[in-house]
Amino acid sequence: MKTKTTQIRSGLLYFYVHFVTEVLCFFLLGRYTGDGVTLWLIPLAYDMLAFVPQSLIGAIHDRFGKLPLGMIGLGMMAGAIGLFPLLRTPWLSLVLLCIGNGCTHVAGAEATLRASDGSLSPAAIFVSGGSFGVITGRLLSKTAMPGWPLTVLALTAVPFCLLAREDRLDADRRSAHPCTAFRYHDPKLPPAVIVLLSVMIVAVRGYMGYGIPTSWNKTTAQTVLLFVTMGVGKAAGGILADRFGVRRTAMASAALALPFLLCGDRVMLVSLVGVMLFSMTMSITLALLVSVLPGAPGLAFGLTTIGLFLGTVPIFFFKFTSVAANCTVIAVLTAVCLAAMHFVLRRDRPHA
Amino acid sequence: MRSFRILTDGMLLHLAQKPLIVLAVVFLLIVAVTVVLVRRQLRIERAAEETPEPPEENHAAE
Repeated sequence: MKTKTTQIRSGLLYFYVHFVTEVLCFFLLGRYTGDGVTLWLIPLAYDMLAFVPQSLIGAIHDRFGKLPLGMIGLGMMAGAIGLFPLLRTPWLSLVLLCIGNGCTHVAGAEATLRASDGSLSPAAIFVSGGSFGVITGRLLSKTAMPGWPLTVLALTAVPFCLLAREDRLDADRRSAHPCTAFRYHDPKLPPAVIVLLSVMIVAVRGYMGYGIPTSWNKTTAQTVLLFVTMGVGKAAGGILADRFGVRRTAMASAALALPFLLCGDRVMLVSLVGVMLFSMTMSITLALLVSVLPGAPGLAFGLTTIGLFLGTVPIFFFKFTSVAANCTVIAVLTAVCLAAMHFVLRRDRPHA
Repeated sequence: MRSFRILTDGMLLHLAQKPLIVLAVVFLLIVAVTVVLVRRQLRIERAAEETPEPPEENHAAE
């Protein structure tokens, strides 16, 4: 049995790698220019090309675990930033950026899930790093800063990747299937149903993430606070799930988030509590999918990113203009998520 | 009054038609391969659960 510190280490290491990944991506996304069509297409293409192929990248990394995927990803993203000023169209650098993003995400998921002995905290800490990176990258893209310092930033993440890779290889040496400790699903349900419902929960939560009413958010400082709260919520979800149980944390956070989100449209503090509670289920759905596919954690992680993409697609095509309609949709979607989680999550505590 | 707004007008969709088709095809291909991989992995997991674990060696009896 590994110590708690060793389990958390891979999460902390990939927290930084994830942070750097999102800084690079959102810096470059903020620098793309073009006509209205291009500017509408680029974020959609980014979501599609960064999120969806992660299932395939994950399946490859499940099979070829010794591949230094994290470093390959960092290299691709640094290359995308380096190439961007030299190319006439943004598409080649965008594809490099997206595949690089997918590689570091999958490497992080594999390292944290395999080295965690069935606990959620490492993966949750890894996932939370993204929120801090997104807002940092967005803010940096609005400055006059050139791209090359970010290639240096990418280099600083290499030692973190190497150390986390050692944790993953060590976990693989100790057990042929290190993720079998994840047992959070109801074993009486068919695994295919659990996969479908988990992907649906991720998609619904992904859509809701963009629909949360936050008319209080007007300044840069408030946006920073919003993203920091999201990051803290994601990490707290995993830590609380390990402490109080996955089912209890998932159901309580989803149910409690609703009133805060609906009443917090104009009150920042109330809204932030809702956002934090809302973000807590992020790592729980990942753990659910890994429970059903313990032999392929990379593929399981890729399913969550496909779900996220499915949830974000509608926001490119329509948005609610009425707060009442938006709140009704959020309430209905939360009820759907609660019902699905009640159905698929195991009742007893696996670590008891 | 309509409570939602369509963000993409006909002209935008017309101009973005080709890249959207490429993205849709890539998406469908990846999802199809993913479904095959998940089904295969679920079969492997089920087979692993149904296979009885080898009995541990009884060192005390030796």
